Amino acid sequence: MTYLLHSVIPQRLCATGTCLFFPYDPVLLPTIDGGKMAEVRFQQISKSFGEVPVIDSLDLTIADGEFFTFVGPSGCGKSTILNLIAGLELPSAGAIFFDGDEITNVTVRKRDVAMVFQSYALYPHLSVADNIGFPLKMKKIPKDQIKTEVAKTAESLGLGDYLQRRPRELSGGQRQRVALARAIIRRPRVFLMDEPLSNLDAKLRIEMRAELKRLHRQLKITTIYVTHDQSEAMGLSERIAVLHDGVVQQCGTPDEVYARPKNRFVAGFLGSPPMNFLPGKIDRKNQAEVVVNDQSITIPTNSQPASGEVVLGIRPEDVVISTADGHLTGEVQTVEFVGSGSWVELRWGEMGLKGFSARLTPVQPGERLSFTIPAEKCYLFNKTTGDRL
Amino acid sequence: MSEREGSPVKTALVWIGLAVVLLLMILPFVWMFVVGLSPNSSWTPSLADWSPANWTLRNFADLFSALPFSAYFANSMIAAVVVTIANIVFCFLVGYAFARRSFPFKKTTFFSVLAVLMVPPYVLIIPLFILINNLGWYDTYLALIVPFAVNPLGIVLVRQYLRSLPRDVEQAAEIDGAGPLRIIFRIVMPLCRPALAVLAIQIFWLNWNSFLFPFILTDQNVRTLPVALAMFRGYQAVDWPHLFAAASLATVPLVVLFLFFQKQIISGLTAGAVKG
Repeated sequence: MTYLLHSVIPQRLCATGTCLFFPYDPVLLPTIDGGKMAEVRFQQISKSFGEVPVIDSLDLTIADGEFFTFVGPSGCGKSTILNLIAGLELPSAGAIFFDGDEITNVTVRKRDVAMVFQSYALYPHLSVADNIGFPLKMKKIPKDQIKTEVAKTAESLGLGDYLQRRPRELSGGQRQRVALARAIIRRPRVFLMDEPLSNLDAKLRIEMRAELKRLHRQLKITTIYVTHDQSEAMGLSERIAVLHDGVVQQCGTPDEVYARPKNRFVAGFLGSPPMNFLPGKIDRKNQAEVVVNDQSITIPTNSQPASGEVVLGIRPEDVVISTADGHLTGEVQTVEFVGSGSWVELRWGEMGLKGFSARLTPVQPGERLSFTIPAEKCYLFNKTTGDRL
Repeated sequence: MSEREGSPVKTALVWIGLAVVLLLMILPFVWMFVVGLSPNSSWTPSLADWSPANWTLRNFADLFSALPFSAYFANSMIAAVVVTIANIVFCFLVGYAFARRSFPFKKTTFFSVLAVLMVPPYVLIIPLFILINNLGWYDTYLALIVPFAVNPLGIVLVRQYLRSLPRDVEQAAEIDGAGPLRIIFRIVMPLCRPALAVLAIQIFWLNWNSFLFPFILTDQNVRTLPVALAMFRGYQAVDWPHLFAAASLATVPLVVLFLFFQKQIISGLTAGAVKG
């Protein structure tokens, strides 16, 4: 048996002075099977529940050791994809491969995957130690070895003092770490994580996000993560796939998907606050002009839809709000102060538009502000298909 | 005093009301014990009978010397315990299958189980007697156990309880490498403990008190306690002190059961009343 050096998690203090997670010195992480990983490939995977299609012709390859995230709104089929990989659901069509070997009809137990559930899914009648050691017990590993592995894994996640407790005696964050410990203890080929942080409060979520990233860097196990939180997806992943109605809308690195969204759905889903969309019309060849209250913005484009109608997209952080006289003006509707400035909702003619004001003196509702929409920051979408032009 | 507790008068009234109800509930039991301990033969204890100084265990001793009371007690205990264990196992397995597994005619089968609930037990008296007699089980433990080894209400209880539990834990066990039997007995069964505790208490209580079917399906060999109690009533008179002494002893297992499982009994009574 070998051990991975787990360069730990520095001691941190929260604002109240209470010790947060992982106040431990470097420890060793156990590696039961030597840490074999898998490339996961979907080949034309479709899944329907009765007449309702959930996943439609998914073709995708997730590389060995990659941190890959499926992100999308509720009901888009992302958890179903995890269930298909785990074997909890069988696809209606298509095949799934681990390292080139088809596992579509392989039983759940033989797939060698580990899953962290949104609900943690701990065994309530077992102690923390028994929960963590359960997968090793199923592998018929000797009791002494299980004990050693459990102690090391628990220690690495700051659970050393809680081994004899029952899950109900732990906080949400501690339960989450027990679920993680149970998953990492046997070094599976693939980690599956189904919204594992969604039950935690905002502060804990950020802590755990960093911890997940660190664990992945150390264990290098293929990790497939599912979330509806786009900031979590972009912060954690090497690549993300944006899902909508069971179809992958776009797959790529977070910055790629954010900066070059393929369609209006992806552009609107990624980013907080979401992108502004304004209706416009192309009135000259190769140029799109959005006309509102006789004010216009001209954006160069290489293609144009037959109808000439387009949707202009601009991210709120790219709408430059200033007090200086500008080309465009709007009336402040709502203001969200965020410390470094404010998100300001403007009424611009008949339209609503969100922008960022770096002004530190508070902006007041009803105030009239000038703003500019830089043409180079704008995206144009086909009004009918939603595809980016 | 917190606002929630209300005024002292209101609190006092609530306590008085509860005390009256408690007295009404407990009085018959106290009465039964006092008559059982009394040296007289009347069912109404005299004032002197309420004094512990006059109490005697003679009636209790008579039960064991003049009658095979311990045999009746043992018969009741064996039947109730075995039926309870059988119900826990069978109702759990059947309820699990209905809640978690897919099989042909599942709905029809479940509705047929529900339909059994609607059959009044009295309708079964004659067919059950003929069946038991033809099987050669009359006046044997089999007659007391086999017909009652599974209860449709227990199946429904387990099924409904399991349907209210998320499947995540079972799925986690499957992913962790547990086989179907281990998942059923080591994961799901402990999760069902509250429902199974309620079921066990109910079944034990029903069988311990059961009179009609043991009366019809047994005779001297495996006579149970409730049937034996009825034998204290003669054509001319009722032997009240011995009857009450026997009844007092018969309540002991139930009292013990209730003391140990109070929490489960209450949770069973309120199950489904509050959306959890």
